[in-house]
Amino acid sequence: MCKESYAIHPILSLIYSLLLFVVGLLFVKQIWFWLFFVTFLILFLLFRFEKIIIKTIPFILIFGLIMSGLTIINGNKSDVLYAFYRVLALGLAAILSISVKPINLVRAFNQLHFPRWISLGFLIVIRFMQIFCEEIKQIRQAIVLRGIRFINTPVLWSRAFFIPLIIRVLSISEGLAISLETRGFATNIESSSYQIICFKRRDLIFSCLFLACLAFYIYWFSGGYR
Amino acid sequence: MKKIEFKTFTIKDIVFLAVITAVTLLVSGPIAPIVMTVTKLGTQAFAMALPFALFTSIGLRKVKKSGSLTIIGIFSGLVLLLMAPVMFFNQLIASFLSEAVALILFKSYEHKKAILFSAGLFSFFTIPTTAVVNILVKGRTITEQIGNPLTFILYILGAVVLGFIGAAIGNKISDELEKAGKL
Repeated sequence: MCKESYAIHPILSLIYSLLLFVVGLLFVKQIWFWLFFVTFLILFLLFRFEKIIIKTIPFILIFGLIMSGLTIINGNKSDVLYAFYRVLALGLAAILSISVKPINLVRAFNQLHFPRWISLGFLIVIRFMQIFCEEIKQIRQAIVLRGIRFINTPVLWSRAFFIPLIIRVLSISEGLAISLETRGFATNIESSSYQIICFKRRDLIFSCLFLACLAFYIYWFSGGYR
Repeated sequence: MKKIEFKTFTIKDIVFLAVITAVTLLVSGPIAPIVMTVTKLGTQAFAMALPFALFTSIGLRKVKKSGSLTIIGIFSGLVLLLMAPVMFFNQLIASFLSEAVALILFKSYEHKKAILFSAGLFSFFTIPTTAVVNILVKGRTITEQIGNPLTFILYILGAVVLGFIGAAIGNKISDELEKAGKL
């Protein structure tokens, strides 16, 4: 059954994100880049991406300022501006791709008959990044409690960090593999999806508007309005 | 003459490679955003060489099957696809080239040198892909990307050396774990 949601189809989001990233970087040196940025920002706002936009703004600003700051060292004013624009282009593309829920992407992959091991591995990577974030915090706390400092004893610090981390990787992956095998997961069998990811009317409208805007700017870039 | 063997990957192998990819991305996470938009060719490879080589070499010591590094490349590429789409191709091509070189030279991962080569050169092989992407997407010429030739050579050498150091450390950790019966 198709679930109603505001999200754009995951595969479409990824493709459009890639397109936006590529053309965004191409347009960085154009004086009308800000107009391109504002156009797509408005399009995203119309399609209810406001929460993701708010979430990405701090990252875009911080990285934009860092990049511009680094460019000041050996670049002129326009280089600094281009560096900031590059981050904006990256952020614009990221809005679309961040909106994709990993589980929906996996479901879409399954519907497209992607190999099972790819979708399974992808889900594990996403899920375990959060788990290992906690593990790393705990290992680092243990190192601090033992009074080991990286500056004083880098070799000892590295041993105290990497060995427990790898041991955790091994035990977690072992447990997870057994758990998956006992649930009947295998790499060579056809899988079914709990939820179907459909191509909705909303996706069609978004696609039309997105591609129209993109085509307009590409035409402008190629000298169509000179 | 010995041929390159391709064995089927089990769920256990896939899970381990996915988990090791998660850790690799997590450990290299703090460095990645800083160098992501740097325009000088080789900077990203230089910064990522050590963590990527270290963890991938451990992954290859555990799953000694041809194609393991490419699988790590696919997984990390898929995650990076959500942040910077071009990184997917970068990771996939680099892992494939690095693995191909190691397997052509050593035929399998049974030899520790094959793992050292494969994991050590992973970051280095991202450089040509990055150069092509920069030409196609950003319209930057090779000379623009290279900038100062001396700095570029230092970046390449740094990426290779750090890659091999990382892979050597990974192998050393794997040796200890193997002795302890954990790997």
